[in-house]
Amino acid sequence: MTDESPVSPATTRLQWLTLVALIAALFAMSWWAYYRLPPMIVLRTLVSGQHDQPESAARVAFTVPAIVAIGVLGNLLAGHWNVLFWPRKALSSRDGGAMWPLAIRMFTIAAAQFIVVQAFTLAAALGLISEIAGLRGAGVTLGIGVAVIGNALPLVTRRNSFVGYRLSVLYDDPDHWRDAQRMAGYFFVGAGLLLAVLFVVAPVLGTRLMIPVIAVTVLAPVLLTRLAAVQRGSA
Amino acid sequence: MRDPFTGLSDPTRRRILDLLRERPQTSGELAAQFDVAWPTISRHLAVLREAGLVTVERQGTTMLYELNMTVLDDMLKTVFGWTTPTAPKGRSRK
Repeated sequence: MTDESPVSPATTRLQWLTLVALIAALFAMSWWAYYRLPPMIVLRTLVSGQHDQPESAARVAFTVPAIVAIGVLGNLLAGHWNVLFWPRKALSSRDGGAMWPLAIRMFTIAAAQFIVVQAFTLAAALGLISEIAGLRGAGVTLGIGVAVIGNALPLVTRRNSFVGYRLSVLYDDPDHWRDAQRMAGYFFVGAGLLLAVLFVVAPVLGTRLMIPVIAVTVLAPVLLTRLAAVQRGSA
Repeated sequence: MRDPFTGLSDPTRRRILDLLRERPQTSGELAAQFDVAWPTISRHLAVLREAGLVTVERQGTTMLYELNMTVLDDMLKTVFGWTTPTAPKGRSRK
């Protein structure tokens, strides 16, 4: 039995409601904007920042909500079915329970971050702010969000199905798991701050570098931790 | 509520956090690595727990302490290390 009980069931329920309300608000905002957008739009967004081809209003309005819905639902279902640990592992429900409040908080931060990203994107699409201002606002928000989530990653100390780097190779060893989450935290904070500064200084360049920076940020901690474990002879 | 400043202001507590970075440990294991009395280490652990920098889990008759620091906490700890005296060196592990 863990001695820590920092989050009451009532607080957890409130966090759940907040998460659901944020996702509902994201869809409502996108739906509202969709009926006010022209059928085709030429707009640089975080998703389509590298080309100037006209895009449909539906794509501009619903890409971010679709990413959030797939991300949240995919994460919950993957956690529920334990598919990220392959071959399947016997996870401790106690550890999962200990990490669950943190998982909800991190999902909520991500949802809030995407609402602001979407608000900047739609404001630019509707002509309320300039295209570059929209791109800058969305990019800075994304960077800060990545940094905030990265800051909390080292708190994912227990192996679980819902949050953190959930890979079979990390699950095998608790030290390996903790090292990977901690290292990932540093990478995420560094990458988030880098993206935020980049989008302030050069938003268009930011859209070009965003995917490579995020790819390195996601992959490097796993590879480095794995390498360290092999060198220690624990893998 | 988390209060990393109180937890990180003392060099002994920062040394405890360094030791917990290696792996979760019991208060007895931690105390064995210092030249101060076990109750002193126990008091420092209580402060760290109050500050939210460590979590504790009961395992039978012992309490297992585990690091619970964000990246920002870790950076603050480094800054505190530059500006305040260093911790008494722990005994080398047997």
